[in-house]
Amino acid sequence: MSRMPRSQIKAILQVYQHVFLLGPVIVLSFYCSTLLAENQTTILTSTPDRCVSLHKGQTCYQKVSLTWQSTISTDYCLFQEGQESALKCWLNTDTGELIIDFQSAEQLTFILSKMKSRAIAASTSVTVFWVYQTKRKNRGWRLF
Amino acid sequence: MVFWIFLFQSNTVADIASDVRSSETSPSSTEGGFFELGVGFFAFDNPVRGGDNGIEIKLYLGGRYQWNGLFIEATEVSSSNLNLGYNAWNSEHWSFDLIGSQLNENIIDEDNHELKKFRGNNDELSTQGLDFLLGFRATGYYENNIIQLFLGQDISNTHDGMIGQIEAGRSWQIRNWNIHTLLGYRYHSEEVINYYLGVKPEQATATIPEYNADAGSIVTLEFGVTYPLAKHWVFRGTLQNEIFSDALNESPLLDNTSWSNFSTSLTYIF
Repeated sequence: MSRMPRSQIKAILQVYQHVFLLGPVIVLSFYCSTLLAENQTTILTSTPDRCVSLHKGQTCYQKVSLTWQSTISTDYCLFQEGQESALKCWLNTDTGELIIDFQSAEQLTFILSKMKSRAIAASTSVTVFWVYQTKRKNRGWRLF
Repeated sequence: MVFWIFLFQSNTVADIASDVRSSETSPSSTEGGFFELGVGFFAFDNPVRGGDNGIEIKLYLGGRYQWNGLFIEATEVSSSNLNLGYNAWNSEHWSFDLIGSQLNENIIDEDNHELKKFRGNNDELSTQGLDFLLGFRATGYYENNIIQLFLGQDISNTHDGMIGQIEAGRSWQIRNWNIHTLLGYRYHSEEVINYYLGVKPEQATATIPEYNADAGSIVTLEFGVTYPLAKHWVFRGTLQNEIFSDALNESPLLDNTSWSNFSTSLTYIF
């Protein structure tokens, strides 16, 4: 039985060293980053969260403060649902505020997304209420 | 201070003020309805001879309910003003109602000592009461403009007179404020004017001469704002001015050629 060359034994030991020593470190660091990502909490709130118009169908006007806070600092953008362009973006930060002039006859939803991945971090809605319902039209003569 | 005002109220016939105030843009043909209750200040200059001007806290009741075309409605102007009607026909822009409406009552305030004394000497005046008119009402809605026509005849044997009215209103929205204006012209036949503002020869005194009136009219201007405070709460403010024709001006029971009032209210809509 021939003996393995010394240099070959050294190479195999180096591989074992990477797999058994560095491997757990790599796996552990990946697991931790995943864990951190899963524990990321981001809250987006609108104040006030409602707007009252006199009549159904009327545009409702309201200054609304959209504030957000996250456990992770990164780049975020705030969107109105259904719109491509961002209302505002923040770079490498974990908090932000935007005051908007809400003008809508119906509920609008606002979404905070991560800038690169576009993954939704949080969302909030401003609901529109009204005092009077729209009256239904009933055309023609009415018979008793 | 409950009943002196009705002859001069322009919006008593109809819910045009309610419609233009709430920015209605289509005929009011909904089955069902709403009820509202409010409280507010009412400031006025009293056109009735010897009547006091003043500011008072007033309770407002209003609402409308319709069932199979039959409706009952009360404007917020006064709890006493009640309309009963039948919504007979609607088109895209027009609504046609058959309507019974109580419009006028005694103009003499309980606190008006001068006319109360005069009235006390006359049995007929002391029994002046509510009239009730039967007629039709047509209301046209064109975007934020509303026009309304009313023609009614007294069927209560109170004065047997006739009243015709045309009013036009427009509303605007400035952010959540709803602003409206109304311009109205109201015709009263001589029976109506004589009943409320005439003085018969046997009623005349040294200070209140005989007065036999012709038909008369009132022109109304109104400006108002409405603001929704919450889902069930609204704030209202109204400034109203009414200008009398000669048939009213010349009555010895009046001492102003016009009257104006300003009111604000906080109203809950059920």
